[in-house]
Amino acid sequence: MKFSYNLLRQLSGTEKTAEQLAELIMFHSFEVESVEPFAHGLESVVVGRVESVESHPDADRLRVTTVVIEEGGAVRTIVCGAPNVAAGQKVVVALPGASLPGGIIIKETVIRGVASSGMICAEDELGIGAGHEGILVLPEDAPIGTPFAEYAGLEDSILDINILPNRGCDAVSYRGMAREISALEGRRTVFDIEPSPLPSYPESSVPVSIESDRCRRYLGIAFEGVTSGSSPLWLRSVLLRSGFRPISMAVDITNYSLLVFGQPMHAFDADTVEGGIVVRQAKDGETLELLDGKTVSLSVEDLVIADENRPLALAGVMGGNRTGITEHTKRVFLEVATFDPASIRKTVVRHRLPTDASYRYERNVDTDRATASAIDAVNLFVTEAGAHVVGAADVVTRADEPVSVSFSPSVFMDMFGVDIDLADAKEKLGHLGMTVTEGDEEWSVRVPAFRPDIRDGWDFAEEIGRMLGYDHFPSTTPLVPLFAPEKNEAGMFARELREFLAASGLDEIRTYSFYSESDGKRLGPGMTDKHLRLANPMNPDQALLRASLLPTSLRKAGENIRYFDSFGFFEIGDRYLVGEQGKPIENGMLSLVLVAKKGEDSFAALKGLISKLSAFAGLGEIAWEPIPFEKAVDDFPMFHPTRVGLLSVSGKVLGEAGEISPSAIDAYDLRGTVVSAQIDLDVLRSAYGTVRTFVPLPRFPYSVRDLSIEVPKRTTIGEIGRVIRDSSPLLRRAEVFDIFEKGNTKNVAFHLVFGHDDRTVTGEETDSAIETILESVRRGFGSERTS
Amino acid sequence: MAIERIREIGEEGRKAFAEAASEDELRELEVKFLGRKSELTAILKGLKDLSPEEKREIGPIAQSVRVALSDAFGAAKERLEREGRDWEAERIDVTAPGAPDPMGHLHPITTLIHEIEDIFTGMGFGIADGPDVESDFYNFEALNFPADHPARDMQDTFWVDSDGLDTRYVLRTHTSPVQVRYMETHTPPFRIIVPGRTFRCESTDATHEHTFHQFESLVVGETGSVTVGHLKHVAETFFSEFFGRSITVRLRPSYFPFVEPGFEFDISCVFCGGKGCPACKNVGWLEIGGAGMVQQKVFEAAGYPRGKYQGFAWGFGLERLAMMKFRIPDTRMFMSGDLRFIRQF
Repeated sequence: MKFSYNLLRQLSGTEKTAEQLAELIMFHSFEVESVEPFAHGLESVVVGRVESVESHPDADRLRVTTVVIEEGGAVRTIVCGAPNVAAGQKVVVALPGASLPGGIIIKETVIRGVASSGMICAEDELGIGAGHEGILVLPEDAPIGTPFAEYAGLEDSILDINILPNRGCDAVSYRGMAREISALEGRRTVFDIEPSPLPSYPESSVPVSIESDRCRRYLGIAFEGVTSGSSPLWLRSVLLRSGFRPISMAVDITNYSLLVFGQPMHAFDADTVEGGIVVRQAKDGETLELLDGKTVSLSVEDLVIADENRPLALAGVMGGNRTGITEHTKRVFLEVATFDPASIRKTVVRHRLPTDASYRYERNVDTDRATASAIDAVNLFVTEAGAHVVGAADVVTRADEPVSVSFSPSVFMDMFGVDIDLADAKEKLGHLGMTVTEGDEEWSVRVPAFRPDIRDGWDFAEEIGRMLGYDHFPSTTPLVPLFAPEKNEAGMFARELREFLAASGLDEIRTYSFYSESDGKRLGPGMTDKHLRLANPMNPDQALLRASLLPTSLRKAGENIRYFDSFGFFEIGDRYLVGEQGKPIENGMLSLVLVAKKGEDSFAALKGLISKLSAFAGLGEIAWEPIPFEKAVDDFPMFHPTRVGLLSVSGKVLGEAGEISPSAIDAYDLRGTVVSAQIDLDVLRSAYGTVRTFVPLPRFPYSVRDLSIEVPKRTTIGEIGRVIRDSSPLLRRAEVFDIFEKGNTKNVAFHLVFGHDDRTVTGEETDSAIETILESVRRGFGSERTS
Repeated sequence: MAIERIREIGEEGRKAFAEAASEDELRELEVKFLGRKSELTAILKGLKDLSPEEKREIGPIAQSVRVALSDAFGAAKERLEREGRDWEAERIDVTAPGAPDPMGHLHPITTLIHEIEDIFTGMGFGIADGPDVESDFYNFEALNFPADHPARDMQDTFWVDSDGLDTRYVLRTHTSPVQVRYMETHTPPFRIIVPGRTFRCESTDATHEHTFHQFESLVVGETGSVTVGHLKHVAETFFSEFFGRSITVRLRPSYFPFVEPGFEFDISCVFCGGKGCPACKNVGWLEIGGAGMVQQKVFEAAGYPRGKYQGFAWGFGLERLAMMKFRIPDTRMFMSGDLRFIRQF
C-alpha cells in the first residue's frame, strides 16, 4: 500500500523524516519497497489572482485575462478559454516551463494574435480530478504565489509498504500503520485511547436484514441532500497521494474511509433501491451488471447485497451498475459492512475480480471498525457534501470481541535464546493495543479485535522480538548432538553419475519440466493418456508435464547444432506420469544425447558409453534387445525403428537407446547422426553401494582360440554370443573381433578363451569344446565354420 | 710388454669403433676386438697361466680395457643407429591439434549444489529431497497456507490438472514441502538441507524464471535448543565458507505462513564487505532469502506434539547465488540448454 508520509506523521505523531520512518518500519514491521517524493508534476504551477477579463479581439470563445502571481507584482497576460473565469478569482496558474500531469507543456505563446504567458488550469489538467467544465477556482484565502502543490498538500513523500497477509487486518490502513509507528516509538495513538460510540441516528427508512452467516455486521446510513461535484481538494489530495483517482464526492468519501480505516464502504443511489436491503447468498442463475459494465452470473457461493427484487452488488467486491452514484444522485445509502474473508476470496477468485475493497475483506476487517469509520464518513457527508442523515440501521449478527490469549514469557526465551525484560515486554504489548494481566507463570493478554493474527504464545514472542529489533539477538553457536546424517543414496549416486558423465566428455544441461502437446504426441499414441497436464500453463508450448526427457533433449540438440557439429550432453531429472487412479508418479531419468556429423558412427560411441556407464554403476553386462519393428514404430516412434534397442540388466528394464528417427530429426531441426539413451535412474542405481569382494586370480593358464563362423545375415551377434556362451562350461570369455557381411550371410570372428579354476585345460578338451560350440551354432543358425 | 700391447689394443679399438661407418663394419670390429677369438680375449684367457704378480699387474688393466672397448662399441652402435635413420621423415607436428577427448561440464547450478552440500555435510547435515509434483497438502495446507487464504497469493502456482482426484496437485512452489515429508518419517533432533527444482507461474525476464532452484536448511530439536541466534550462526558460517570471507547476517521481519517469526535475511556485501559498492547499491547489504522459526502448526501437521520441538528454516534461490558468484547477468541462461553457456563453467 502507498502511504502519504505527511498523513502518517499527522496520525502517529512521529517526528522522524520519511527516510527515518521507512528504516524504522523496515527493521521492525514491514518491507518498505520505496520512499519517494510524490510525483505531482506541478513544478512552476502557482496560486494566482485574476485581475481583469476582456474578450479576445479575434476569437469569440477566448478571453484575455491579466493575472498576478505575486502581491504587488507584475501583471501577466494569459489567454483563457474557460467560460467561468472572472476577475478577483483565486486560480491555479501554470507558468511557462511547466509540464503538467495532463500532458500539456506550457510555453510563452501567441494565441490568435495575443501573447499569452501561462495557463489558468482546470482540474483535469492538474491531474487532480476529472472536471473540465471550467478553470479550478480556489477559495478566497488561497495565498497568492504559493506553489499549488504545496497549497494542495501534494508536497509529500510516499512510502510504498509491502504488508504481508498476516497483518492485512490492521496494517492495510493509515490508522493501522500509524498505530504501528506509535507503538515502535513507545506510545499509543490517541484514536485507540478514546474511541467514540456510534451516535443514535433515527431508524432508517431502508430496512436491513442479514440472511447469511457470511456477513457479521451491516451498518446502513441513509442521507439526503447530497450535493454532486468534486470532493474537497484536501480529500482528493489524500487520495492522489495514496495512488487513488478522485471520482466524485460520495465515492471519494468511501475511498478515503477505505484508506484511513481499512474499512471498505459502498454508496448506493438510494432512489434505485427497491424496498429494504437484504444481505444473502445469490441464487443460481441470478446475474448482476457490475460498475465496470461486466455482467457476472452468480452462484449460491456468492454473497450479494440485494433489495427486495434483485441483487444490487457483489458484497465486498464491487457494486452494481444500476444502483451506482451518478451526478444526479441526491439520496445516498451508505453501506459499512463486515463480511467473511473466505467467502469474499472465493468470489474474487471465481470472478477474477480483485478490488481494493475485496483486498481488505479477504484479509479480514473486524466489526468494530465500522463504528469509527462511519462516524468519520457521516461527518464528511455533512460538512463537505451538505447532506443530512435521515436514518440508519445497524445489524450485528456476530460482533468481534477482544480475545484473551495466554503467554508464557519462557516461550520468548526459548525462541530467541535471551532473557526477557518483563516490564518492557508488557509495555510494548500495551502500545500495540493489548492489555496484559500478569499471572504466576503465564500472562493473560487481551488482544483487540483488529489483531486476529495474535492467537498463541509464539505470536507474542514474535511481537516482542520484532519490536526489540532482530539485531538485538546475537549470533550464537549451537550445541548439537553429534550423529552421522542419514545417507541419501539416490542423491549421492546422482552426484557421482553427473561427475562421471562430465569426465566422460558430456556437458550437463537442465531444462523445463514441461513441453508442448506435439512433443507429447511424438512419444506415440501409447503415451497420450500418461501425460499430466498443467491447469494453467504459461503458454501452450508448456502445457504438458514431461513424460520423457527426450523431446526437450532433442529440441536443445537442435538449438545447439547451430553452433556445434558434434557434441554430447546429458540431463538428469524427473519425468512425470499419470499413475494409478490418476495420481502422479515421478521418477528420475538420465537422458543422453550424442550428435555426430553424417557418416560418423555415433551409435557405436553410444554403445561404448553405455557399457562404460554400466561399469561405473557396477551393473555387469547390459543386455541390448532389438525391438520388433511394429512395436518400435508404435512405442518408440522417436527412434529409428530398426536401430533401437531395449536395455535391460538382470531382467529389469533399464531404458531404451538408439538412433533418432528421421521424422524426429526433422521435427527438431537436427542433422547428422543423432543417438540417444533414456535410462531409468533407479535401475541404473540398483548395484550402487554394493561391496565387491575379492575373487581369486586364475591359477592355471587360459588357452585362446579364434573361431569364425558364417550365419544368415539377420542373425544377431547377441544371439550367437548367447548360444556360444551356453555351449561349454570351459568357455571363460567370447569376444567378437571381426564382422564381415557378404550377400545374405555374415562372417563373425570370435576370440574364445577357455580355462578351468583347478587345472590346465588340455588341447583335446579345447578341441572338443569348439566342436560342441560349432554343433550348437549349426543347430541354432544352420551356420558353418569358416576358419 | 703385454701391458703395452693391451693399451695399444685399447687405443686401436676405441679409434676403430669411433670411426666405424656402417653396422657391418661395426660387427666386424666387434669380432675383432671383443670376439671370442680376439686378441684381448686371448690375453684375458691367458692370465691364468701367469704368475700371481703378473696377474695382479696385468689383470685389472686388461679388464678395464675390455670394459672401455665394450662401452665404445655400445656408443658406436647407438651412433650408427641414430645416424642410420631418417628422423626428419618421422617428424610429428606437435603443434597440430590432438584427437578430440573433451572434458564435459557440469551445469553451474549443479556445481553450486555440490559446493553447498559439501559445506553442510561437513557440519553434519543430511540431504533430503522430494517430488516436483506435490500435493496441495504438502505444498500449502501442512505449511499453514489455509485454503481460501490470501497467503496463497504470495506464490504464483502452477496447478496440475487434477480432475477427478480427491487432492489437487501443484508444481511445488518451494522446497519447504520436504520439511513435513521429512518430519513424518524422522524424530528430532535432525538437521537437513533440501536443494531442488521449484516453480512459480510468472513471466520470465532477466531476473525471473518460472523454473528455478531453491535450497533450504532445516534444524529441529527440543524446545529451547534451537534459537534465532543459532539460525544466524549457521547462516553466517555457511556464507563465510561459501564466499571465503567473513559474512554477517541481518534479519528483518517478514511473513511466511510456515514460520514464526518470519524473516527476510540480508548478508553483508560479499564484494565490499559492507562498506558500500555498486553491487549492494551502496547499502552494504545484499538481500538473499527468507528464514524463520518453524511454525508450531507445521510440527502439528507432521504429527509432532505442539510445543515439544523448535526449529529454524532458511533458504534462498540458487540462481541468484550463482548469478552473484559467476557474474551471470540473465537468469534465463540456466534453463537454456545452450552449451556455449554450460561450457564456461
